[in-house]
Formats: sequence, C-alpha cells, structure tokens
Amino acid sequence: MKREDILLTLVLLLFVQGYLFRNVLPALLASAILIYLIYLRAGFSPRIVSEREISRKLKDGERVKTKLRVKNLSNNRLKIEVLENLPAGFKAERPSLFLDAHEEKEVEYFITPVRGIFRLKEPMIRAKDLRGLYYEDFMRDSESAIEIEVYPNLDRIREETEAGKALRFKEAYQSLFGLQTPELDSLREFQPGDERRHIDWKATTRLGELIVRDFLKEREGDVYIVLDAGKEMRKGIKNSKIDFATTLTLQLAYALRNYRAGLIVYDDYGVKRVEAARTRGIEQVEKMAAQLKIGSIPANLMGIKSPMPVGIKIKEESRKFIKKILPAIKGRRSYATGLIEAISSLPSTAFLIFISDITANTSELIKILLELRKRYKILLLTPNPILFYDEARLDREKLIWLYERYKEREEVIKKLNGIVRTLDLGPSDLLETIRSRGVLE
Amino acid sequence: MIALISFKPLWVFRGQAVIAAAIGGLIAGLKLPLLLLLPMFVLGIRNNKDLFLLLFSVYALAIGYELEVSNLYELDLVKVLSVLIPTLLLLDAGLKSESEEETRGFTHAHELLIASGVTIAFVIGWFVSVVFVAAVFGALIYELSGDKARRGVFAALISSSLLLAALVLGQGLLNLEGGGATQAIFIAAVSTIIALMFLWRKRDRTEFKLYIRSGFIL
Repeated sequence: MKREDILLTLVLLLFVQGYLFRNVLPALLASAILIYLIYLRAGFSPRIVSEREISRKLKDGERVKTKLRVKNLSNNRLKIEVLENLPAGFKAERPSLFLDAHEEKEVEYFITPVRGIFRLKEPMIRAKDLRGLYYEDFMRDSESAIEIEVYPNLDRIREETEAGKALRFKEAYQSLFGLQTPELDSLREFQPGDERRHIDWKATTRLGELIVRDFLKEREGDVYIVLDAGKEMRKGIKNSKIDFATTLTLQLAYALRNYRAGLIVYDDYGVKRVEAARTRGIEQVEKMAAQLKIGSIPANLMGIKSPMPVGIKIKEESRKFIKKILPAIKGRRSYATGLIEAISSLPSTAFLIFISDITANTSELIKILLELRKRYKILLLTPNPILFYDEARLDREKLIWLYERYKEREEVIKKLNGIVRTLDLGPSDLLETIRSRGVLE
Repeated sequence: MIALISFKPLWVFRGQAVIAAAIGGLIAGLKLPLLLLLPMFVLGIRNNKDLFLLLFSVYALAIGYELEVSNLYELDLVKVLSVLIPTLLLLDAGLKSESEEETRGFTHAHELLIASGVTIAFVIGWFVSVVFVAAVFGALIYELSGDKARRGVFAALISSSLLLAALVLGQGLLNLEGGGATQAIFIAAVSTIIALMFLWRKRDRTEFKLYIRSGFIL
C-alpha cells in the first residue's frame, strides 16, 4: 500500500460519509484533499543530473571517499537520496540531501570495496517530493560505468594474520610440545586453543568455569627440523623464502634446545644432516646454525631462466624432453629423491617439523607425507610466496596471477591439512609470537 | 537574534497548523477532533508520516461526523472555511520533510516576522472569524509558494474552478430541501472526474510503512 492510497481511501470514506449522513461537509473536505493531491502530483516533475568521482584504483576493505555532484534541473525543491548499485560485497553509505530549484550540490560519502576488477555503475538518484508521497529514480546509462581495480590490502592481510597468529601458534606449540604422556600433571583454566577433549567436566561443574587437564610432557622424543633449501625456496630477490626459513629454523632450534633436536637440510644436490644430540643445550643450536650456511643459487641453475634468443622457437615435445634431461645433466635430482634421501636415516619414532615449499612439487610431497605420517608425528610449516612478493614489483597482471596462485594454494593447504597439520607462514610470522609466548626465555 | 536561532521554521509551521486547527475547530464548535491535535503535532515533530496519515484520516472523519452542513447553497462559508483550510494546513505541515536548513533555525528576520504575524492573526481570528480565515488562507498560500510548483498551482486552480463551476451550474438541480446526499454525490462525481483528468499519469509512489519505533508492524 502506498501513502497516497491512504489519502485516496480517506477521500472515498469522506464521500461515503457525506452521502450516508446527508452532510456536504465531508464531501467538501474530500474534494479539498483531492485538489491538494492533484496540486502535489502535477507539481512534481523532477529532473536530476549527477556525476560521480571515484578513484580507479582502490584497496580491499579500505573506505574510499566518493564525490557526487547532483544538480536539480526542475523548479521544485527536492529531497535527494543516493542509492548505490554496487557489486556484491561492496558496502556504501546512503546519503540524502535537499536541493532547491536549479541548485547544484556536492555530496561526499564512503564506499568499502572488495578485491577484484569491477565495472562500477553510476549511483541511482532518488528524487522525492517534500511531502514524501512521490519519487522518481534517475540512473545514467550503462555506458557511464567505469572500471575499477580493487587491490588486496596488505595492511589488512597483515592485521588478519596477526589476529589469527596467536591462536595458530598455540596449536603449533601444542603440536611441537604435544608429546604428552597420559599422566596428569595439573588442572588449569581453559585457554583459547586448548583441545576440548582435555576439558575436565567434573572440575568444570564443581568450579563453575571451564577447567582443562594438563598432562606431563614427553621430553625424551627426538625432534627433527627438515628444511627444504631447493630451487623453489630460493626464488625472490628481496625477500626469499629461504632467508625466512633459515631464521625460522634457528628460532625453532633455539626453542627446542631442551629437547633432543636434529636438523636435516636438503636441496636439489644433496642432504646435510645434524643428528639429534644426546646432550641438550646451546651447543646443539650452534651446530645447527653452522649447517645453515646456504649458498646462492648455482649459476648453472640460472641458465634455465635466461630468456630465449629471439627467433628461436622450440617445439613443445622438445621443451618437455629438455626439461626432463637437463637436471640430470646438471647433477640435480628430483624433489622426491632429495626428500626421500633426507628422511631415510631418521630414527623409528620422532617428531618432524617440515619447512618446505608446497606449490612446486605438491604431489610428491603429499605421497611422502602420507607414508611418513604412519610412523611420525609431523608439522608442516610452509612459507606463503604471496606474502614474500616484493610490493614494488606488483602490477595488475602480477596481481591477478598472484591471486590465482593464492586460490590454488588455499586448496593445497586444505588438502595438506587433511594429511598433516600445516601452517601457512609470512615473512613476519612466528618470530614475535615465539618471543611473546616466552618460549625463547 | 536569540529567537532567530532557537525557533525552527518547520516546527513553527507545524505549531501554527495545530493552533489554526484548534482555533478553527473551536469557531466551528468541534470537540472530538481537537483531542487528536496534540498526538498529530507530536507525530509531525517526530516525522512519522505514516502514523500521522492514519491519525489525520481519523481526524477528518471525526470532523465530518461532528460538523454538519445540510445544504451547500445555504452554508456558513466562514465557519466551513475555518475548518477546511486549517485541516489542509495541518495535512501539509504533517507531511512536509524537515531539511537540514529548517532544523537550524530562522535564517532571515522576515521569516520570523511573518510567522509571528500569522500566529497573532490566528489569535485575533478567534474573535473575528473573517480575519482568521484570511490569516489561515495566507499561511497556506505562503507555505505552498515555497514549492514553486507552477504546474501544481495551475492544476489546482483548474480543478477548483471546474468544481466551483459545476456547483454553480448545477445549483438549479441540487438546491433542494434535504438534498445533502445528492449534493455530496454530485461533488464526489465531479471531483472524481477532475481527479482522473490529472491523476492518470503514472508516478512512483512512496510505500506506506506503519512502524512503531524500530519494529515494522505493517
């Protein structure tokens, strides 16, 4: 039902009342209201033009100021409402203003975009009469739509990572030091990240708050850090994943100094090993640090990446053949061979912390992890290449390419998490968390 | 200057409309409709147009119930106009939107002078009915002139002229003893034809949403 209908119904009722009560006054009142409606309807003839100014490059989730110039071309004073017709996920304010006859005003409001490339239509301008009975919508043709690019907001990604990090590390910490015995150590209050199955329901009922059981920690098991120093880990000039991985390895080695910790580093050419020490302490950490002197990428490896001379085209079959035999010529082995060699001499039971790239040799890694998880407890830490990408080198094509890789990677992470616990890490991950948790002290 | 800042034009207009309706009602000897004026004023201030429209409908029907005009051609014009015009003024005041400028206060001294003059004329009009009708009519014209709706004014003038002409032409047929019902039907018929002439054009119309605080009930 419309507002006008209420008045028209009233007019009808007044006419009926006038007839039934043999009274002219209700009929006169009804006529007066009807003439008033005629005055409003005939007088409402809005004409509006508008133009929007918005930046073409926006950041995901970041409020962006939009300027809208609205001009009233009619003789009426109008109430204007701006109704944005935005792509799904966008958020916008709904500003309103009053415009006198032939007045032009500029209104500023905020839009919150989501990432992607979109064609942004001009907003719909709703012109209302001052009595709020009638309105007319104005929208520019679809040709006026502009293309905007919404880039991922790195600050936001960092913030989100930061928010989830504490909890994730708690999980990782439990995996690391989760070699628990069934022997009860103590009871304590529930903390975020605690496993629900450890809740002591009797104590919870008694004390009126969630209480969890702490078990005595098994400190005698071997812990091995298995570090992938292969080609994929060395990609990137400014922030290579291997730099981060070595720092992380050292941090872990330090954090595990009271355990029997060992290190295995493997790449395309061989395996370096530091056996789990029978004695614990800082000496073992230093021994591991010595093994982490990872050199630059061998020159012969770079040859593959060098651009092909112009005019020379190689057939697809030939390319595949060269790709197959070249590593053998240069003395490289397959990823699987390196990894199998790396883990071949592990003791029968150990806790393994893998630090590896997951994008290049996913199927081999999955096969090996499926085998290994039968015997070992495994934690997989994987540097996320997107977070290691040099911001200065970002452009539209790279961004789209990175986004596609990011989506693929999400799938791989999901798959890997079904096999072993997998943590996706960025350049600033873990270091601060370890410190804040007091693990290094 | 203080008055200029503290009085808000639309509030004053709404207040004036309520005062006019109250004085007009008292002149015509109405009782029941006057009870509805205070809630209508409150709804006008709160800008609740939908609830206002409902209450206004009850108000208009109550006027028709209490004030009787049995013959159009023998009516007390001042008495009838002192009810009809304030009723329209009240409807217009209740429906008008409050713009930012109107909530700020009077910006020009002459606006305040006109508003005060009209209110004083209303009060004088309590004793001299003709002054009241003239003041209320002046106030209505002043308020509508702000719209600058030339087409609307033209349409309203044609409509009222046609209705008036029809009533004058039909006087011979309608001016009968006890012909109130016939006159009402005649007015309804002519008004409907006039309305059809002007209301045929399609317009987007605002939805009626009756709500109490934040919860919608209709």
